[in-house]
Parts: sequence; C-alpha cells; structure tokens
Amino acid sequence: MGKNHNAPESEPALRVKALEALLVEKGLVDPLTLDRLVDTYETKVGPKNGAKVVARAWVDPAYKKRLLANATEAIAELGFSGMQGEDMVAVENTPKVHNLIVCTLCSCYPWTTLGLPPVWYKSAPYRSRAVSDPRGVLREFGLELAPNVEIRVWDSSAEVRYMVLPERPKGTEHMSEAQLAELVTRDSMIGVTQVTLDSNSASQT
Amino acid sequence: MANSIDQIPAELPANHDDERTFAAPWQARAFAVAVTMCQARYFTWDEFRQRLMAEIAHDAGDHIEYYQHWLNALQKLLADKGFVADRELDAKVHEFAKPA
Repeated sequence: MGKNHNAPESEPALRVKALEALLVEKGLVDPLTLDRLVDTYETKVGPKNGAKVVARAWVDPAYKKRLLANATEAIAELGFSGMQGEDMVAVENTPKVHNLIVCTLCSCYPWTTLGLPPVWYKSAPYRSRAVSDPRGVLREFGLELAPNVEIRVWDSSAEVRYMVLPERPKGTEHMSEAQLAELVTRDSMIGVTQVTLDSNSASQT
Repeated sequence: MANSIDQIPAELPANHDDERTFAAPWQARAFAVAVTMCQARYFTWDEFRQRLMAEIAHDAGDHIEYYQHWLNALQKLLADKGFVADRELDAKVHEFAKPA
C-alpha cells in the first residue's frame, strides 16, 4: 500500500490483490469485513484468551470440571467462541500424563483460545515428528520429561480442536487468577512446554 | 551432544521465527478472504481444508511458504465453485502488474 511505488509487488501479493478485487467486483466480499477480520486476528484473538481459560480452571474446580467435560461451552462462558472453536476438547496434563497437540495434515488449531498457529506448528518437521518422536520434539523445546510420563499426542481433525490444560506450577498458591493467567504461555497450551514461574518472562507471547 | 543445536531444524522454535501473525499483508488478506467467504457460507471450512491439505501434501519439502499453499488452495476452491476462473484471475493479475 504505497510504501515504495517502484518496488514490484511479489507474485502472491499481486495474485491476492487481483483475487480480492474480483471478489469485491462480484459483490462476494466486502473489503471492510476483510479489514475487520484481519484486525481481529492480529490484535484481539490470541493465546491470552486461552490463558484466561487455564487460570480459571486452576482456581475454580467446578469450572475445570466443566472445561474437561465440555470445553466448547466452558470456553464460551468466558466469551470466547467462533470459527475453529466450535468443537473444543481440553486435555489435562498431570504428573503422569503430558499432552501435545498437532495437526498432521494441515494446520488445524484452536483459533478462539490460541489465535493463529505459530510458523513452526505448520511446518513439516513438527507435523511429522510430533507423532513419530514426541519426546525428541519436547526436548528441543527444552522440556525433558521423565521416562515414566506418558505422552499423548492429539491430532486435530476437521471437527475437533484440542487445547492443553497445563499443570499449575508449584509455588503459585498465593497468586490471583489474573496473575496466574500471566504465567500461561501459548506453547504450554500446545503442550510443547510446561508453565513455570518465570514462563512469562520468555520471549513468546 | 555437544553439537545438538545443529540437529534442530530451522523450523522448530529453538530458532524463534518472526512471531507476527502474518509475515506480509498479502497473507492477512488471503487468510481473511477464505475465512470471510466461509462465514458467509459460500463454501464450508472442510471444502477449503481438503484443498489446503492437498496443497501441503504435494509440497516436496521445498519450503514453499504456508500462505502460498493457502492461496493456491483458495484459488482452486474459488475456481471449482465457479466464483473466479483462473483465466479471469490471470487477466486481473496482468492488469495490476502493469504500471498505471
């Protein structure tokens, strides 16, 4: 959009621009709707939503029960619903079970609670190795699990979207729900890391 | 062991990539067109997803950007559904590519 008029646009940029123009001409899309949608996904929807769900489940056992029984409804209670969040399942990490989510065939991901997936989640190595070598993948994320911890890998399908309910870290008994939400990272809700007391100081959001 | 960093594929986050939602504005537009048209029920998400999976499956590991797959899938779906023919799109691209 007019940064440098001499710079040729990339091939995909040109193709999208042409596609959008044709769809607008045909009355099939409204550019303002596109603007709003982009803004929503760039600024409003993101892992902070999921973090609120996790923190609520940590402080409210009744909510946690509802979350594990019917995640779609429990998440909607907090105001998060919409595309790619219609059929949610929350899977709980325990000292004996660690959960990991992946979409082996494309990039299915719980948009309503986590936003759009990070680049690595969509990469071929993650999509294949999360299934073939989950322990190795976790190690690369800095998470070394004891051999007796069972790893469950959840492959998102067309209908179901998973999110991980991580374990509440020790030493957080005094913290408020809002403070707890600050600790919960995107990666912990994908299941590639755990929540730690300093996980919010990591570079990720 | 000492060189374990070498074994980490570039795609995994040990080498943190750019964490912006979209790496370029066209990616955001392509994303928004697919989602908006699905929400307006011009097609189902599964119809789009099937084509996206096919694009990704055909990727011979030559690191085509994810949103290129997305755009290819969208283009095919819109052609299959009779909304935008490839010829029509090519003509428009040609028009936009010319300096005004």
